[in-house]
Amino acid sequence: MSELDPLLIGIAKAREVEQAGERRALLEDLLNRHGATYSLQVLEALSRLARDLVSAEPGEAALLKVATPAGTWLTASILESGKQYGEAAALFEALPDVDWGERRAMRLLACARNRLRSGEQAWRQLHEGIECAETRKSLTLADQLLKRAGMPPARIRKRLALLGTGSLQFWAPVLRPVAFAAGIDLEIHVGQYDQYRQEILDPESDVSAFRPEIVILATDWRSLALPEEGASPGISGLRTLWESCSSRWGATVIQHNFEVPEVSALGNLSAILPEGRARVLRRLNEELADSGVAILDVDQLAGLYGKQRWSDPAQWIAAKQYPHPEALPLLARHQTALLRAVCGLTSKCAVLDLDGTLWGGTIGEDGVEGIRLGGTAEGEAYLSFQRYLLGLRDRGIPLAVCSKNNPEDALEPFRQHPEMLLKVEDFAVFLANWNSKPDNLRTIASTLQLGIESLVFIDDHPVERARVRAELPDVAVPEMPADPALYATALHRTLLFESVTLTGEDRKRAESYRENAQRQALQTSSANMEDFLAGLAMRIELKPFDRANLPRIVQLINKTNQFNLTTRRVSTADVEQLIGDPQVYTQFMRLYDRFGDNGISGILVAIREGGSYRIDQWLLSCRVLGRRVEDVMLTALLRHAAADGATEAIGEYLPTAKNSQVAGLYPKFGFEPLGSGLFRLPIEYAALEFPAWAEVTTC
Amino acid sequence: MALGDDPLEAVFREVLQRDDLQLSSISTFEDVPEWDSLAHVNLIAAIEERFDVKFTVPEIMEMNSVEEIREVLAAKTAA
Repeated sequence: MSELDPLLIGIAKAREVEQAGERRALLEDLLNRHGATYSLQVLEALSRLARDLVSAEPGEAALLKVATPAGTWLTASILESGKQYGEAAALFEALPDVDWGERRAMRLLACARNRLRSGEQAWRQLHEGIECAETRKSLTLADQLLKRAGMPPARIRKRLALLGTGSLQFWAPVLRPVAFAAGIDLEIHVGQYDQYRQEILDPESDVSAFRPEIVILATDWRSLALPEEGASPGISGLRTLWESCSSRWGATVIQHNFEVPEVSALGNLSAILPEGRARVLRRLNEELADSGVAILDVDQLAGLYGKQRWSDPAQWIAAKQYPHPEALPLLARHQTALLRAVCGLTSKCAVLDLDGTLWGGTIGEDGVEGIRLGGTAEGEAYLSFQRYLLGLRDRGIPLAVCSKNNPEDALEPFRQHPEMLLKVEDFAVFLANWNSKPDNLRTIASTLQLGIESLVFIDDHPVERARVRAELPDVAVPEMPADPALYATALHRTLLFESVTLTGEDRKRAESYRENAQRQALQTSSANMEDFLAGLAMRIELKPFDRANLPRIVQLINKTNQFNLTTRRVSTADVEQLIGDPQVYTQFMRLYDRFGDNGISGILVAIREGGSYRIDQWLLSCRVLGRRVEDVMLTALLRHAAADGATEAIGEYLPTAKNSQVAGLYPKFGFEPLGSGLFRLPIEYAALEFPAWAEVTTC
Repeated sequence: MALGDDPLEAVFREVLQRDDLQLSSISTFEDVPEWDSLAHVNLIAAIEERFDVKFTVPEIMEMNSVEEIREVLAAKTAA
């Protein structure tokens, strides 16, 4: 643990101060200076400090307010300690995340705890918190909160028996929340240490009374009573148990296979000699694989976690714990993946964005020769992801495209790029258009006749992911890493496509989905746009052109193809002339949202001609499309024009091969067509209020 | 008045889910209903994590009261 963390040192120092006011001043200074981020240890120290402050000096504690993330955590914890749960929940809810892992989980669970204490529901916070939780501690906390929250409505319920060789009490509080987040409410019966045979075979056992629908049989190599090295009894004993589970309770069995342990008297020869333990266990694992029962590959999991940590001899001898308690979150995620498969909840379709997901760059801007695919290291990374997707397709998971692009642009790389592995025919549905992604996902689900919850949406863009999560909470949206080299790993680790069997028919399924899709007519529906926009917490800054930003302004004007009304290219000197010209209204737009700064990403230039303002340039970077920032830009111009005494605005649309998406933009804003690509809006009819979903600053 | 902070007490409070627990006023299992054998395994694991130590099996067998836990931990962190 990091004892050098300035926050940890500062908190310890503040505790030693004698005088309460002095302590508060010290803490405020500390949190202002270093509170931009925080470690897990800091979160714990802050929560503890909050409790002590509230009990020792509540008056001073109530005054402590620092707006940095760590400061907000302390304020929220102080509110919680003072039983102001509603206020605390709101602060935890709004706190920005420093990562997508354990700290996000701690924040969401803290929010859920306070919501529950103030009598509100917290299903979403619990669900999202559990999804990114990494430790046994946070999952155990989630389990306690779930118990307090009661039973969620209309979900799959299953009775599960956890039986096996070790002491399994610790497994249930980890497995239950993970299964909950996967849509399964488990009632768990935990078997006694090494009693699994009697529990299954004895009609009078507690497990028999419980009548499980699913049995996880977690036997490990210790249960085989292997001589130090030597022949094993085979799996016939296990077979008897599976048959009993099935005939007596109708239960499905998920059988753990055997970890090949590190320690062996034979050393390397253990894997070579016929009586070597490693070789015997590998042979048993082969037998299990052929047995037809659902197998959890524990040997692979142990290796993934690190066998040196997975198996802790002291934990086994002192407390019969195996694997190490901290490995339980990983184990529970894999157990849950198989539970989903047994319950028929396996995801059924991978829906893919194109730009930045299947290749580097933007096809609409960069063209086939400009996108990165193959060739360079970055291009290789995208190719390796395509290879993984082809593997999914070959095992029967249909692929679909959901991309914001002109359809002709989107198809071009598949037809012309020499390195492209995926072909248009590999996709069951191919949607490239300017509809919202939630609309397109609905279309894909109905075309393939799948429930929306069977879709997995894969997009490199955090805003698109956030929008889909907000509008379609049932769609699985994996958090994608910044590095395309890690895309396949990230998708794999979601375990969303885990199955317990795979038939020849399954393998052909991707093809049949495609055929069905071709018969289906596409349909779209509207979405709750306002909520999505408000959720982005956008801040829009509009400023007249200045010299400091000249290079970016010129670059944006000359590079933008898609949202560009006139596509008039300019030189730096051209733009420089506009600065300070009283007859010209210039505006560049800078957009911030809850994910950060999108930079200068929009331009508008209008020229005063008699009583009207003619819009000479209007363009938006493709990064910020679909977020209605254009509404704000136009409103700003209209307000300026009105204040300047103008009576009308004139718009102009010059079609190119790339800008068809803005062909209908002016009519959408109430402009009337004048012919020759010109449009007119009388200012007295124009709305001059900025929309409520963004904070706008102009100067 | 300074605000004392006993990290071992913090571990006990967290594992046993008792925010009001004072180590000075308890001694063994019998004093806290939440301190059962399962919680004890949790306690040992949490202490190992918090203090970045690894107890031996003989040490674990010895750690049955607050005082014994403090002794073993002190010997461990002094080494």
